[in-house]
Order: sequence, then C-alpha cells, then structure tokens
Amino acid sequence: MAPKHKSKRDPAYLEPGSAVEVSIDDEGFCGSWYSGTILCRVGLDRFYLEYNDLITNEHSRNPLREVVCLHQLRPLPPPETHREFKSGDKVDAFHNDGWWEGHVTKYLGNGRFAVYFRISDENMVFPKEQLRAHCQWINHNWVFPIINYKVSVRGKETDNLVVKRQRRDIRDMISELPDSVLLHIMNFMDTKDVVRTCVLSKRWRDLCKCLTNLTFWSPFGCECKKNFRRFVSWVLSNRDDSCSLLNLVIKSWIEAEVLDRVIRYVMSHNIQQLTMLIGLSSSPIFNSLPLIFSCKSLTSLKLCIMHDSSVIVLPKSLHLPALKSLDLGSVNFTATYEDCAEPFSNCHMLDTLFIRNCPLYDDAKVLCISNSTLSSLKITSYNVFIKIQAYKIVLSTPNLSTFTIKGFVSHQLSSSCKLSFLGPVNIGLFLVTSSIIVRWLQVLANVKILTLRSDTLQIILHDLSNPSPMRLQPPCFARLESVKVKNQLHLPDVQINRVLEYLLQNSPKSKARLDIIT
Amino acid sequence: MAEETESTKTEPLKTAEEEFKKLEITEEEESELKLETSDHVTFMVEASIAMKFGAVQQYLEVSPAASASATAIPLHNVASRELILILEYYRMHDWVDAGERDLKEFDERFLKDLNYEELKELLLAANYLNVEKLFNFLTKSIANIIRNKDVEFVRTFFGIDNDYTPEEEAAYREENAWAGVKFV
Repeated sequence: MAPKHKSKRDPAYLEPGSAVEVSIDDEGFCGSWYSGTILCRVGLDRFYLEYNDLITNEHSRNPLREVVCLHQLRPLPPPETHREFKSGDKVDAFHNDGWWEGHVTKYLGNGRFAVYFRISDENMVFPKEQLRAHCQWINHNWVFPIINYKVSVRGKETDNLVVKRQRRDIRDMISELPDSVLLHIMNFMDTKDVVRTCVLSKRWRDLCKCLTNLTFWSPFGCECKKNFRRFVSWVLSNRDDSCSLLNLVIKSWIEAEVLDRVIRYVMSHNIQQLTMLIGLSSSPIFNSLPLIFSCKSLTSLKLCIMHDSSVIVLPKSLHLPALKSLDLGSVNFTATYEDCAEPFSNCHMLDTLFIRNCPLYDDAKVLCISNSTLSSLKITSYNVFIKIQAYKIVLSTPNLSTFTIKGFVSHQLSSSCKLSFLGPVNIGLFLVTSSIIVRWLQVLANVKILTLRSDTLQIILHDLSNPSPMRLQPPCFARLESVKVKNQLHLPDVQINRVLEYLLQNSPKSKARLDIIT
Repeated sequence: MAEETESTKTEPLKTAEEEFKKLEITEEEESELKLETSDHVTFMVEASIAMKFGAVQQYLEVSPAASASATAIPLHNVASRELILILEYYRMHDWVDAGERDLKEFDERFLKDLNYEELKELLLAANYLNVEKLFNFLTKSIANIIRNKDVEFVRTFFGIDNDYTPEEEAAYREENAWAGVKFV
C-alpha cells in the first residue's frame, strides 16, 4: 500500500536513479543549477543525491553526495535545440560545473557569445555549446522566457545578492595579470606579433613598448626592405626608454643605415645578449660597429655575416668585460701585433667561444686565442664557396676543458700551455691530410674523452695503407678514459681498430673505453 | 657545591641528547612539508619539490619553524586542483631517470590535457608560487597559442575589455599595417 501511495505522490523525476537539476541554497551559488542523480528519499521532502560534476574535494575526486530539499529540485530541462541566441536572450551558461543565469550581450563570431551575469556584475565569453535557453520549472511545466528585453550592461545597480564565487575571482585576475607576466609571455613571441597586440586595448598599447626582448626577423631573400625598415624604426622610436633591453635578435638582410641605428640604440640601452645573423647587400662603413666590441653590459654576442665574409673586420682587440659567450661567423680577424691576431685577451669573463669560417685579414698569419677563463672552444669551417687561407692557431687557454673542431680546416694548431684540464675533445675533420690530424692530436694529448668522426678515421686509414717511413708518431694520451667513434660511414670494426691501434700506440695500455656510435 | 657541579655536568649531555632528538625529528620531517591550498586541502609534499616553490622558500625564511612543525604552509592563491598539476609536473621533471624525450612527451601531454581556462589558472598559480621552470613553460606555451591568432581570440583569451573607440582601433590597425603585420 505504502509504495503505491508514494509513487502516486512523487513525480517520476524524484524516483531513485533519476537525473535532476539542483539549485544550491548556499551563498555564492544563487541562480545556478547543477545536475545530479537521486539516490533515495530520506524524509518527507528531503532527498539524498549525488552530483554529477561536483566533487567532495579536489584531492579525492569522489562525487559529492548531499541531502537536498524538494524545493531545490527539478527535472532535467528539455534537450537544447534552439541554438540561435541573440543579444538580450536570457540564457544559462555552463560554468564551474553548473548552469548560471545570464544574458547574451553580444555575438562575437565563431559561435562565441558574450554573456553578462547580473548577479555578479560580470561579463564572460562562452561557446554556444555551453549555452542553453533559460527556462523555469513552474507548476510541473517548463516555462520559457517570452520577451527578450534589453539589459543594461555594466549598469551600476548595487545588488545585495552580489556574491563572489571563488573560481570567478580567479578568472577576474586573469585580466589583472601583472604586466610582468604578460611581458614574460610576449618576450617569447616574435616582435612583429607583439606589436599587433597594441590594438587589443589601451593597456596593451603601452605594454608592447616595454619588451625586454626584441626580435627583428624577416625571411632571407625576401624583398621587403622598406617594410623592414619601417618596422624596426617604429619599434625603436615607440619603445619606452625607461625599460631595459636585455636581448636583441636580428635575422635578416639589412641595410647598413638600419643596422647602424639598431646598434646605436641597443648600445645605449645596456643590452646583454645580442644576436645578429645578418646579410648585408653592400659593403658598409660602420660608424657604430666599434661600439659593439667595447660594450660593457654585453654577456653574450653572436655575430654572423651571411654569404660574404669580407664585410666585417674586427678591431684588434675586443674589450668586452662582461662577455661570457662569443659566437663569430664570417668575420675577419686583424693583426694585433706583427702578423698575429690576438683579439680575445681582454675578455676577462669569456667562457665559450665559437669561431666559424673566420679568415685572417690582410697579412695576419697567426690567430692567438689567448684567454685565461675560456673553458669551451669550437672552431668550424664548412663553407666551400669561400676559400679560407690556412693559418696558425696558437692556444693560450690554461682552463680549456672542451674543444671541438669540425669541417675542413687545414690550420695548424699549437699551444703555449699544457691544457691540463682538457675533458671532451671532438674531432670531425675532413678533406685534410692525415698529418694535420695527428698534429692536432699531439697538441690535444691531455684529452679525457676523445670523439672522432668516421671520415676523420678514414683519412688516417687511407694514409696507413700507403707505406710511408716518415709517418708522424701519435702522442701519448696519458689521461684518456674513453674513445667514441661516430661511425656514419659504417666502417667495419676491423678498420676502426686498426686506426685506434695506430693512434694509441704510444699511450699506456689503458682501459680506455671504446664506444661506436652509428 | 657538589650538586652544582653535577647539574653542570649533566646539562650539556642533556642538551646534546635533545639536540640529537631534534635533529632526528627534523630529518624525518624534512623529507616532507605540509602545504595547505586555498580550498583548505592539505598536501604532504616532498621537501625537495616544495623547496623549488619560491613562495614556500619565502614562507620558511620568515617562519623557519614551519618546516619542522605540524603546521601547514598556507598557499592562499593556489587551489588544490592547480597544486596537483604543479606537483605532477615537478615530480616528472625531478625524476632522475627521465630522459629528454620522456620530458618532451610529458610536457606535450601535460599541455594537451589543459583547456585554456585551466592553463591560465595554472599560470596564475605558478606565478604566485614562483616556480620558475613551470612558469617559463606555461608562458612559452601561451605565447605559442596566441601567435598568429586574430585579435578577437586574444581578447577573449586574456579577458580583455576593448576600451578603444572603433575609430581609435581602426587608427591603430592602420598605423601598424606596415611590415606585413596582418590583422585577421
């Protein structure tokens, strides 16, 4: 009798297992509906239910179960079909796991709508999938709003019901992100993209003028010199001078006058990192270039001239007291005294030096790399189009620990110090004679980890197959721990062992490990 | 007199013992720190990870007792949801055996699992906590997301109210129309 009575009184949507929507009476949840499932009835007008989207706490992620009153419950609204929202439409927007009552204020395109919530005086944007027509459950019937009425957005009527929900508070902060965070994001972007952000709003107009990283980039071979000039000029003349400039990158063909202006600008703003991969169409006379090589703030400098190595001649000595990392490509070293170029001895913080395709200028014949702090040195020469005259390299680098030489460099190497801290040495020479390789190894005899490319091995191998009584003696590698062979040519092990046997013949019968990397 | 000497003898011994005990306790407790999020969930977090959070460091500088005591370090602007993600990120990046490729894959998946709202909320949490590595990762990811997007997308993304008049906005678009700067 009792069950019959109960089912008669209860509508179907209150049966255990039914899907319902719940309004929560608590402060801060006013005007929102959450979906849930009835578990059982626990009193005359009270029900125990489980929320679909709310959880007990973020840690356990169990669905929240709660006892609610009958007046908080309603069945699920009819499925949404009406998708053509207009401004002024009363809608529910799905946010923070619940449906919140609001008004469409504007269609933003791409299926997105601006929605205004009167209860909290907030505007937010939703895709149409997260919107539904607002409707009410009255007298066991769904009642849809009939009249669209205008709402006054940002109407400053103070409402006692204005309550803050925690999630919303966080969202509000996003537009309140500190400038430093927004600038941090912008510093990862190409400067061209950043400049676009000044049309976003008044705040952003000024934000992009405080960038600490600038990137002037245009594709090589692109004939847009005029635009590039205007772009650079706009950025430099609009920049907020009170903001420091830390990092500048130029990758482009560039006119000499533009480059001149950029260099003058960055030098007067205490630049720390400067990267210039530039192509110059004419041989320019730089008034500003010496400024770079005596810049006190610079910690990292990369200067590579594309396509033509005859354009830039470095000064006799670089005076860069803070410089830690230097990367030079296709620039000319000039003699400091007699026929010897010694440009690095006044860089007292230098740690890493990379020299690629750099010839000596005029009648200089020796490049002396003299620096007491230098720990990592890399020399490469791959440019087949520019014949670089072989010269003599003299190392005076007592703290050198890493050395790499790659390409076809016929330079001779010697050292005026012991190189006793040498760790890894990487040799990838090709198109040179066997004796040059062995002479390099003689200078680098203190190596701990020696990496050889297979084409370098092949040169020695070729030399070994010719009988020659005058063959150079390899050094004694007293500290050698490991030999690595990068075997791209897939030389058979027999051949590799033959070369290593020759190279290590004067070394202690050590436990130097051999790794062959293909 | 005799009593006095006895007490002075035992005193240092006692303190040393106490010190040792304290040391034991701090050593035990040091391996984990108690953090409480804004929604009042407490987490026991490895000290090695928690100490990477600038906010935790700062808190401990001001009240060093918190590292040894049972009181939780409050993180007022971080919800448990974000802290779980931050811990997940740091546990992976702290893992000794993780190779470069593992981390790259992890980062990609980590990012893919976040929607824009979560991403921004995580950024706020990372900014508040002062966690450098994650902060750089998130800002860089956001830079990638908004790169080449139209103005309206970026406004929505950051929740920017356009306070230009249409004329002003048009003037700015006009001004920056050089150098291939395009507005979609």
